[in-house]
Amino acid sequence: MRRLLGIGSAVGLTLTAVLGLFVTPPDRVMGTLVRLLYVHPSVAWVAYLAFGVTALACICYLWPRTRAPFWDRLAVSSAEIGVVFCALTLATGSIWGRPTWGVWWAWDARLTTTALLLALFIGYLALRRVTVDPGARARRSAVAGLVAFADVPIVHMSVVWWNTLHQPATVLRPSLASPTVSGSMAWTLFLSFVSFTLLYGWLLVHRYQNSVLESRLEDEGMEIALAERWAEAVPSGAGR
Amino acid sequence: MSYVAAGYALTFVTLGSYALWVLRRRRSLDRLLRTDGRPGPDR
Amino acid sequence: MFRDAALVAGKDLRVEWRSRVGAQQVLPFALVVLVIFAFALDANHNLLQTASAGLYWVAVLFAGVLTVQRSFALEAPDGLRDGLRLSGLDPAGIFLGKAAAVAGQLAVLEVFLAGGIAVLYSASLHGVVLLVLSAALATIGLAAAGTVYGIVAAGLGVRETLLPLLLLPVVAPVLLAAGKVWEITLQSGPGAWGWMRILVVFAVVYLAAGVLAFGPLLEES
Repeated sequence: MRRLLGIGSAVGLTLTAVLGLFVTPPDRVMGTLVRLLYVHPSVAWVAYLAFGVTALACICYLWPRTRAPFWDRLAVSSAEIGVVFCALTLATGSIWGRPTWGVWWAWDARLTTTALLLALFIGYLALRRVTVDPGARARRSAVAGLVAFADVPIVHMSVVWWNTLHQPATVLRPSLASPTVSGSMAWTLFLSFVSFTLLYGWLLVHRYQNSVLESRLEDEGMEIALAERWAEAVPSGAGR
Repeated sequence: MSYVAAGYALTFVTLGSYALWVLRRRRSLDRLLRTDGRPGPDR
Repeated sequence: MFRDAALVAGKDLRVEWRSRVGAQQVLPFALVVLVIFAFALDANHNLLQTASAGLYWVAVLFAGVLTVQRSFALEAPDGLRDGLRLSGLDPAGIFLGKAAAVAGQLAVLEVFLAGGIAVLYSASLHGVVLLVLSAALATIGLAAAGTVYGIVAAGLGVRETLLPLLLLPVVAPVLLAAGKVWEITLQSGPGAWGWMRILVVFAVVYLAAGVLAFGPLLEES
């Protein structure tokens, strides 16, 4: 399964890059910049997917009947991946924005909400890093993660309102739907969504595995270290 | 054009680095957890 | 639940009254923030006046973070949180009580800060009804969200730095909406009620979250 995801995503991403950079034609309106279309929306989609998975995992953890460490580990794994993809979303969006609108950043609803989403989940990860007791950590971060995620629609609602009030310069009509997508572009776009999603899956599986091992390390790490110290002490000392 | 190149480079380098980091962490965790083959005197 | 809330709120407020930390430290801090904004914006009179609503709410937010920190620092010393847990008080009541105490302190602060912007930024405070109503809603929301995150971060050594990081992104909508209402009202413009809706939603969501989540969170803080 893991192998399939790994190979699938690697092949898909390579193809995407090749097609996106060399094979597909430039857009009539946007020119070569349209090539970023094969990267930015997919990365954004994965970020939202990852955070959605985290929120769901938090719910499953907090629900008494389904409570299990699995959900907690899934939550943190997905959140970490989500943070990486979210930061990437903002960065690629910014790279797109600079030549398109002349600015690195615009305070429209989507950008602002995404930036806040990133901040919220960086906070989530910080909270986890700082809480030592695994049970407390799982419960607290589940609540924090859920509350953070639930805040997103409120943030979005308020920012949309905010934006309709001050119309920025007409140049800044940030709409990713502007290029007319057809033919090879459509296929490449589809491929890119699939490939990045496969990559998410692969990363999730591996990151989850790591978190299982981390839990074991927390439990057994002390004993293992002690055993090692004992083993070191033996040669010099009085008999076994 | 350079913007496009920058975008692709940033994306793939970042994701590649993250993937490598996850794998490296896995290897070090494996190493840390496998070193329990030498029990002390009273184990 | 409400009786317990009143008890906890009374306790917190009494501690505050006797120690006067809010009056002697948080309020001056908030006023200093207003002054610093003036330095940052080069004492540009027009700019400050136009921006006074937004700057006001940023100052309130910072003061709010400090007030929440203080609220949980009260029980930080050994055994006090256990005392709270074992007291038999309804956790939802404890939440409401703590949030109410924070809200109360913030409300007093806001009155003084409003005076601050009137004096420092020459903001003309008309439309008092809207100002007060939106401030009340915003304060409830801030206090509720702050108390939820306060207990989440409680008992951790890095509470001082973690709480702002967790809380500020979450209350950004309150800053936005309340700032907007005040801006519109101070300049006698239209459309303040739409923003009020956001404040209501926010307050309701976080009060509900706190009432539901405080119990389990208190258990292992």
